Amino acid sequence: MDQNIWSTNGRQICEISINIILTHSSSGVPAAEHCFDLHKTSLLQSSRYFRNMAEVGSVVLPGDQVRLMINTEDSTRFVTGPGLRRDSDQVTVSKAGILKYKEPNIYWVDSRQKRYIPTKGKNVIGIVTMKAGDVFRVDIGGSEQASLSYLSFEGATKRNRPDVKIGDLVFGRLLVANKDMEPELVCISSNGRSNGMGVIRDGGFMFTVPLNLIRK
Amino acid sequence: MPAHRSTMGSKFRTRSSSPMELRPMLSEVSVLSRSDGSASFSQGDCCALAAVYGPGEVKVAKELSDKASVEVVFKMKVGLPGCKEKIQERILRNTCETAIAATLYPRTAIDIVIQEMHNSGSFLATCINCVCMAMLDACVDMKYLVAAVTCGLNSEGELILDPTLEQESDLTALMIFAYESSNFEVIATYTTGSFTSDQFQICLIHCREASKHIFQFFRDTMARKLSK
Repeated sequence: MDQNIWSTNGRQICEISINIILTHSSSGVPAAEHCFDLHKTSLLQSSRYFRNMAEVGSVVLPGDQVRLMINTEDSTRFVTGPGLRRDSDQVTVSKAGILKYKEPNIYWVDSRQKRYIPTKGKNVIGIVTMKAGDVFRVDIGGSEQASLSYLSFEGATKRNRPDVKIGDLVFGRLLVANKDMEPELVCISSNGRSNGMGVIRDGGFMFTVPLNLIRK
Repeated sequence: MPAHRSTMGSKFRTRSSSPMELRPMLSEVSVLSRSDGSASFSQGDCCALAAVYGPGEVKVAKELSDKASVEVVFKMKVGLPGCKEKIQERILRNTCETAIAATLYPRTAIDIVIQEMHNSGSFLATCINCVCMAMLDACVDMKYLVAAVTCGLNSEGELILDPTLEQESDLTALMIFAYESSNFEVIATYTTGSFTSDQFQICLIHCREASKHIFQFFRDTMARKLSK
């Protein structure tokens, strides 16, 4: 595997090589090359900011009201991303960060969070902690462990079970992730192919970094 | 992440000059590397260090199905924790839980640990301010910020903001108010001693003005952290 994987839960895999520099999450950017974006989701779900966008915002703190700059014809529709709460007409900030805006009507707060909150559709790296019947329990860095069925691997059937042991690293996508339900991970896409997901073999290192490094 | 330090020295003079001014504040954010959020906050000599972990895994016994379970552990500099520390934990927990948008994180736990570094009077207010900064650093969803101000009434009926330990021993009444940042309303009151309702109202008004300075200090500290 000649590539490095960045996943959205703040974990990164590097191939074993002599010039790997072990980094701690408190220092700067890890020495990673060939990082690639694995997903392009809408801004509703991610707080990534686009480099070609001018910084519109100032530092905002929880409790601040947001003054909206709407310049579309349909002035009642706007999208609020992470860090903003809506009640009827008011938009209030709920995290400390820099308020960002993207045309035409998307607002969010860019904050320096370390703790990962699972979101649907994101690619994450997890550690298998338990095997309970037909389901693996995977630690993805959130408040709850995710479940991963043994059938969610490419070419897995009831007779042909995947070779997953406790302590293995798996790279998968979150199928279900909301505050009310236990997260579910799958290593297979909707058309049955793995697309690079699955158990990560052949050794390597895994680093945990703050989320804002992932989102650059 | 390097610690981000912010001081508010020029606006506030030392204790000896005026009883109606807050002690100078100093704060560092992200001081601990392994916690999700941490802050150290000092008002004058009084200093506290807070760490926030969360939202994370919760024990089944403490799990709440509709919101996050907030736990506070208070550690003193010397000695074993006793009843007084439990009361402080309870006050901190009740005050800070109102600020957190706990319904966004059901069946999780938000753990807050406060360590007393030095107590030189008005320590509970320092702790509340410290926890608010740590929660800002941890990026836990909050409805508003919380700032706490202590004021005392001495035997002549004079109001002293942010009394020191020596001043606290002479007071007839000690009041701690916690304000929120959107409308500057009181969200928590903790009082000891005896006072009239007029004195209470006057203290409320003065402490509200003082809390605005604390909110501005929070804003300056976070602005320095985020600009780096």
